[in-house]
Amino acid sequence: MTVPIIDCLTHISTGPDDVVGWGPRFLAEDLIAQMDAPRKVFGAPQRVDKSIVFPSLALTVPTSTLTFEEQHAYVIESVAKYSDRLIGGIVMQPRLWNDQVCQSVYKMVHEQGFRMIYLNPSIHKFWLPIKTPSEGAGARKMLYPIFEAALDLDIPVIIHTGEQPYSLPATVDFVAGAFPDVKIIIAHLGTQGEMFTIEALLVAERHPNIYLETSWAMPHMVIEAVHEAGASRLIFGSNCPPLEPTQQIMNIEEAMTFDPPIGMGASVEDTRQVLGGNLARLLKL
Amino acid sequence: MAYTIVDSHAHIIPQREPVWGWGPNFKVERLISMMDGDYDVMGEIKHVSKSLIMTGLGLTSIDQRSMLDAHEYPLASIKLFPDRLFLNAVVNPRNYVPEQLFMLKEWRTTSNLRMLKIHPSMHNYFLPGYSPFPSDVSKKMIYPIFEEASAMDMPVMIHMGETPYAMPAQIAPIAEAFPKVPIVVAHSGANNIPANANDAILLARTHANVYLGTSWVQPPELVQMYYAIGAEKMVWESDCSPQSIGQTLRMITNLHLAPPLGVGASKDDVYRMIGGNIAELCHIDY
Repeated sequence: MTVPIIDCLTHISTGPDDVVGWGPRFLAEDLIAQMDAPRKVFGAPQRVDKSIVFPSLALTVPTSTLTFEEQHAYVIESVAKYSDRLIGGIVMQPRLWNDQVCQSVYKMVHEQGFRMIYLNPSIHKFWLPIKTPSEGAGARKMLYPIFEAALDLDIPVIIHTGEQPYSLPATVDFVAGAFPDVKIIIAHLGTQGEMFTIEALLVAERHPNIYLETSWAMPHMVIEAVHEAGASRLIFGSNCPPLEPTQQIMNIEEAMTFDPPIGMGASVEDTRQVLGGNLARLLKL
Repeated sequence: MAYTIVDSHAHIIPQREPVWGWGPNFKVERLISMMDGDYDVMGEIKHVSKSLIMTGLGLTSIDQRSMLDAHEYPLASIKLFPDRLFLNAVVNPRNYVPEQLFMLKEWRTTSNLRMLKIHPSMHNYFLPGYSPFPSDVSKKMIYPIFEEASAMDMPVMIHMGETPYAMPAQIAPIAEAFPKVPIVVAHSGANNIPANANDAILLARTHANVYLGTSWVQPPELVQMYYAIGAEKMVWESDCSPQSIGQTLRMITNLHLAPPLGVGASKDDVYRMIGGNIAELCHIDY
């Protein structure tokens, strides 16, 4: 049986995302059309079988007046409508965390099949738990309950990285050590506006609970990541929108399977694990 | 409009790249094989017709090779594929200027020379700026290269993408000193700092002779670029090797898609970006 392609990071929205900067909308149907777009992977036609789908980040910024439940309403509706293709992802603006939100998160996981929590230090304006007393203590107070819930729910936490000052992969190190049984995915391999991939790899080397998501990553850094952390710890994500799944799949396929110097000559089997097998195991699909 | 694909930025080398380190080699036969691969461009299977090739940059930097020695392999390769390959000569201003520049005119006649490439990071210099030091020294190194480009009516490609030598705004003074010489900003400054592409966009908006290369640039900046400067100033680069042709080409042709993945660019606009612009700048039939 062919290993499925599972996309770790997508967004849907009924309106523009004027925080990240794309629009005018990207509906669940648009995402499924992209998942089903004609493409060849390893020379044969293949769709993206499933996607983890998160709400538009614009709905979740600290200045948003929407409740946590309102931020996720469209994703909840879409996951119910396309339950065989879409898996819900939770964007947790940590300053919203309280008993009611905690109950909503448990309900989303237990009853609606949500399988991942997403944190974005840049957009939501917080430090990961660093060592400086005041900043670190505030971050621990805000974030540890979320990681405790992830531990209890047995779902991974994906953390956006790739720019100053909040989203440096090295700052994932502390929480990865504090919660060794929580699977933590470093999004974008540390690359967005700036490239901090090597930091991400150093954190992965220190903590076996760290996984690395591939959207935005340059091919040579995908290659370095496989050599450093092993193919079993890389997880394909498209970050669609604004990125396109086919191009992001090509990025992985070419970087891993092409002979050097374009790629690293990895096996098709290892590459399929990156494109879906690893995430399937992580999510216990 | 010819619907032809021309790659503005490729490297071939018969050995391990001695500075970047990639290897074991990237020979011309493999480049041609990759150019002839099947690429889905807006639903049609297409191939890369022509490429502007450079030597491995490290050969121009370490071991004190002459410009001729550093270009031995691409020059021989162009003789094998004269209808497919064109030379983008890498000029090391510290070692080749002015004594070795004479051979550029010869290469133009004999070896499909169509563009000059300079790389401030590889060769450790600041482009001419506004302060006397180091600009006075820099002008002595860089102006002769631009004078040659002007005399031969060809563009200069400038590597951009990291501090301290290769930040896009540093191009402004030389672009103003040689307003008739087209400048292609390699990687749009995004090589190691993706957000730098925003600075390159401003540079291209404010300087008519500045064009932006697309390798290493991320899709949101490509979208910005399209709206800010138009398809006629965008130039597809694969940077193969070490980048691949497939995913870099796909990133540009995706501008054909509707927002938010693209901008709904027309077929003509897409082919301008992936071939027409660089072919016209370099006087390559396409």
